[in-house]
Amino acid sequence: MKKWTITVSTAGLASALLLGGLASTAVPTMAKTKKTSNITGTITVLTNRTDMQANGMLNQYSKEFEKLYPGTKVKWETFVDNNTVQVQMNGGVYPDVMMILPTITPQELPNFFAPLNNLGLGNKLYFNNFEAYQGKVYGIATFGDVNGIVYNKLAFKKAGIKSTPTTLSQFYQDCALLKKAGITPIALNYTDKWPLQYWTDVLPDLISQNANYLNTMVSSNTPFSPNTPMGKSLNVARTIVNKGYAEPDFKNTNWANSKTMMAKGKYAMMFLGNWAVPQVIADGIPSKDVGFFPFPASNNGKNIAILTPDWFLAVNKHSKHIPTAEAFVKWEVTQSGYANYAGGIPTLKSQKSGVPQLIQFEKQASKVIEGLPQSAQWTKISNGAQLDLTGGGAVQTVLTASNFSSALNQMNQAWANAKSLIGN
Amino acid sequence: MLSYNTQKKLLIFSFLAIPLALLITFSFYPAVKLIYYSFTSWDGLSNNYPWVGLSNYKSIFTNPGLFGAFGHNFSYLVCGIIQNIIALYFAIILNSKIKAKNFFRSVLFTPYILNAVAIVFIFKFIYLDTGALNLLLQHMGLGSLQQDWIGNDSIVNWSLAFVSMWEYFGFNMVIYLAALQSVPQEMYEAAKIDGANKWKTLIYITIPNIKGIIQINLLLTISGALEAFNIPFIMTNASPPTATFLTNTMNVAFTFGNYGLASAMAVVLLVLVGVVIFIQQKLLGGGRDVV
Repeated sequence: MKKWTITVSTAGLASALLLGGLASTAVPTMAKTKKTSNITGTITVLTNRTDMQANGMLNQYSKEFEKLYPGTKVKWETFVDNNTVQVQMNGGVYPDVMMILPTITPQELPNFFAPLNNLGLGNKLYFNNFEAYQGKVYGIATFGDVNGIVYNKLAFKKAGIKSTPTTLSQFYQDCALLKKAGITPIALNYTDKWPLQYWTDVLPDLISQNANYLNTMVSSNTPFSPNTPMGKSLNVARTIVNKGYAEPDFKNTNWANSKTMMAKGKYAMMFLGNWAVPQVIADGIPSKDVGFFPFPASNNGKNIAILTPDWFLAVNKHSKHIPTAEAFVKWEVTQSGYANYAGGIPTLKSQKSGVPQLIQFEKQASKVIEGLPQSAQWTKISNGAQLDLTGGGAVQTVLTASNFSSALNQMNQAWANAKSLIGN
Repeated sequence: MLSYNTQKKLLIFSFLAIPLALLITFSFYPAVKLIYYSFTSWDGLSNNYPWVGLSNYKSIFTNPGLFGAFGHNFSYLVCGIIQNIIALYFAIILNSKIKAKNFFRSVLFTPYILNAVAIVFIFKFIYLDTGALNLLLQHMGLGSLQQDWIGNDSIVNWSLAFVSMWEYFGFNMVIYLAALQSVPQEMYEAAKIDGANKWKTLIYITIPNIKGIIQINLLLTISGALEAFNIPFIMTNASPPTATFLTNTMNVAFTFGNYGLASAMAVVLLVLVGVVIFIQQKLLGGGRDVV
């Protein structure tokens, strides 16, 4: 769920040069690390939060950390593009504390990062085993996310909706009411593509009430058939478009604009994550008018939510100041208050979120279960089948296809082909 | 004491060393690596490069999702040819004796100087369902022509190709202008005396004299059409109805982590552009080497 990533920057690059230019020499050239327990020295920390650099929050964080551990210095480095970081890692020189890129497989973790088992956090954390290999933990989540529907309470009121929908049929009814009131019921953000990912990488799990559902797809040759959770989930997205519940010109959308439209009450809902709440509020609507509820995926009104990790922090194994880097990771996750700032659920199980929308959400969800990472096999097959299930590409294909069931058939075929090529 | 010859060689060598080193580092070495990667299934990160032979190339030509994207490039090709005709037309007009020539020249050239990304964003707003284009049509009483310029799959590629046409025709025009100015005036005078009209002067004097330049412009246009990238990438995020071969290449590499296949696609594109240039030379080439 790397929703902050902005990938506009690559416009003018000739892909040929880009592909050819990735150096293949991943020979780490840094000096051997000394085993000292002193927390001192300068560390560089990579972050995706360019907005927090702009508003000075990052500087504030580094000052707090430096005060806690005199003799240390924290330098921030921001990035907007995974590929740049990947090239750096390929070259063997990268920041001391950084995020684990989604392309890195568990087997590759020990090549790049230092194990974090001795931080003494272990089972006190959510997602402790997400970025682990052979019993060693290499990544700690910055915070947890839950996916659900962000909505404008005033728009609901205007359409005469008293309470948030808890079943799929209620959801469609509310959409119809909103449409009648002249409000766009739910914005899909088709053009930006990434906001569509939740229809394929979250909703099927919610429909099946199984956090491991996606991983079970690898044993099926037809995981996209209409009666499967994946097929049902895509059908919801397709129904929204067919009934005109999405944006009027849904193929020409703009994420920044959608947030403003939601703040103004012209769009009522968006299926995103808790992190979207502060962003909508930032666009000029009081916090009390923005709500967040679990996706009404069930027929009995009992909707689960799945807790998924945001970015994972990891420590560069070639770092000269591993203890400092480790201390920083621990501090950011347990003491900095970053989770609340970002509107997420703290990774430390004992901490509770202070965000009102999350409190509302947790009240309405029948239960919140911890998500599981997608298996390597699942990723291999979906990549081999060239089905973009985690980035929204597959949803785009389905929403554009002239025939829904033949689109699902094609996906089944691509999946089965890739599966037979890759083997079990 | 070095002999004159040695000195000469030393001098030539030292002058050439730096540009050659740069050329090899940033052009030839990546190109060779690219071809090598195209025979592997490298994932872009790991240190092993599993050799897969020709299977990447096979999958490009057997997967309609990859190769079929060239269908979307077709509109860019058509618009590119129209773009050249318009550019030549304006160049001829601006080469004649009209008032405020330089003003019009700079106005028509401006789109090319503007930031390419900014242009795409401007057009993104123009093409909105409530955007400038639809409003204009409405106020002109042509409301029936209003379209979802991006939302309608059968016209979206033409909307995008139009942006490319609008952006690049100024560039073509300037090149044509330069070529027109180098055509000897005596020829026109002689033709005038012989009683040739404007049209005949164009067909028999102007076009043959700038044939080489027309070829270069067409070459740039056609390879540009095959490599259409930034407009769909920014305007529609290369959604399925607008994906071109190059945006698919990006996707294969950076979304699906298959750098081997993506490299093979880059090689295929390179070869294809070469083939198109060759055919064009055979069809239009009159013995003059221009490329």
